[in-house]
Amino acid sequence: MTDINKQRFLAELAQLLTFMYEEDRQDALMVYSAMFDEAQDEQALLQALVSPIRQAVLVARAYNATERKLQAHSQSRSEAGAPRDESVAPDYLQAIFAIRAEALSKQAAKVEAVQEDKNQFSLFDLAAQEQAAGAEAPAESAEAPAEEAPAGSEAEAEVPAGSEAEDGEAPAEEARVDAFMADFAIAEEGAAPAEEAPAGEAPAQSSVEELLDAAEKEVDEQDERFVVVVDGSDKPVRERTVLKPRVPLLILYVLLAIPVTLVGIVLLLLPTLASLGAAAVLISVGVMAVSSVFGGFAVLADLLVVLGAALILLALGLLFLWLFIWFIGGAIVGLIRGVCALGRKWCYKEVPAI
Amino acid sequence: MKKAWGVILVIVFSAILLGAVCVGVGYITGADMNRILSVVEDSSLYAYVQTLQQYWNQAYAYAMQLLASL
Repeated sequence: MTDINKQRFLAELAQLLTFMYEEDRQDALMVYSAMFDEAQDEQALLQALVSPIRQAVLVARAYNATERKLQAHSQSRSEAGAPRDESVAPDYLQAIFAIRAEALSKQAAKVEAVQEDKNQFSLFDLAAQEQAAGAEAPAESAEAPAEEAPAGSEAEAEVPAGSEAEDGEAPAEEARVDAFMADFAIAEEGAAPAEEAPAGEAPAQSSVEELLDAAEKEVDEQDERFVVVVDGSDKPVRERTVLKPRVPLLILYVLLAIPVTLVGIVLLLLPTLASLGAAAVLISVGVMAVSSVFGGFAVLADLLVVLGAALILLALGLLFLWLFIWFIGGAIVGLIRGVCALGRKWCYKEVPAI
Repeated sequence: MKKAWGVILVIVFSAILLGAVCVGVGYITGADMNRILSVVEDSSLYAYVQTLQQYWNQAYAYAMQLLASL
């Protein structure tokens, strides 16, 4: 199961990092893969990393495509095989190294806590030790030692015959199932992102912004809909909330808000209509002045003066027309929305959903 | 809305600047206000402005009567 989680995490991360150059993306994924290899407890590491989206956002914030393009041109191929120096690594890799250091330190603290727990005496430990002793006995009697058997998917093919004894059969079965699951996970999920990302293709900077926007929007939506409640355990429990009206307050608010809003709308309608009238007059006079320019003026200097005056009138007419649109679409609609938002804030309260 | 305000203000100020330049160049190169007015008075623009002025005076008088009645 842990292999599937690792593969799924890396596959989702690979899909999210397609805005990067292919080489950079592969480097980032290699660092994450190494992080999983170094991890003593993979589940704890997955919890520390939170989600692929979060990691993609962190990498995207530290990634500068333009700068990386220039660095990629100047970097020689011989340096690619050299061991990586974390102090001179690009910004996005330094960000990943920082994440790795933080995650591994958290995990080390957790493992120490678990070790302390294991030091306590338990009857289950005795039973487990007896079982382990029973499994080791037939393995030692076999010709080839069990340590020579390769780990991973080929484990079951080279398991010595002596290990098929009754006590050693159960661990061998588990290893076979784990190997099968690991192979299945790589074949199904690991291949997909590699095919989707074209090699060497220049990434668009807008995709980074889109990714950041989408991730931030998702986080905002989650924050709006859920309230995090910590119940003493490690994992926070997310609780859905609903808005419940305070009916007497709501009725009082509606009774007061309607006349106040109507007065505000009427007051806003006066400058709105004045703007519309001024815009109509200025634009019509300007248009007529422009049309008269090409009719009766014989001197170029006179023509320039009238044309300049017409331009000024048309510009002012455009300004008043925009003011009319702003009063209608911005001020009046904003007033109504503001009154509604205020009512929601004052007359509703958030309660946990049943 | 802020972006639209920016675009509108840029257009308006550009047109006003261009109009002011036209007026200035016209006066520098020998424009005469009396000659311009004599031409405008003969055109339909003058009649249109006269009509607008008449409507404005009527509307103003009506508004004053309304305010006085309040």
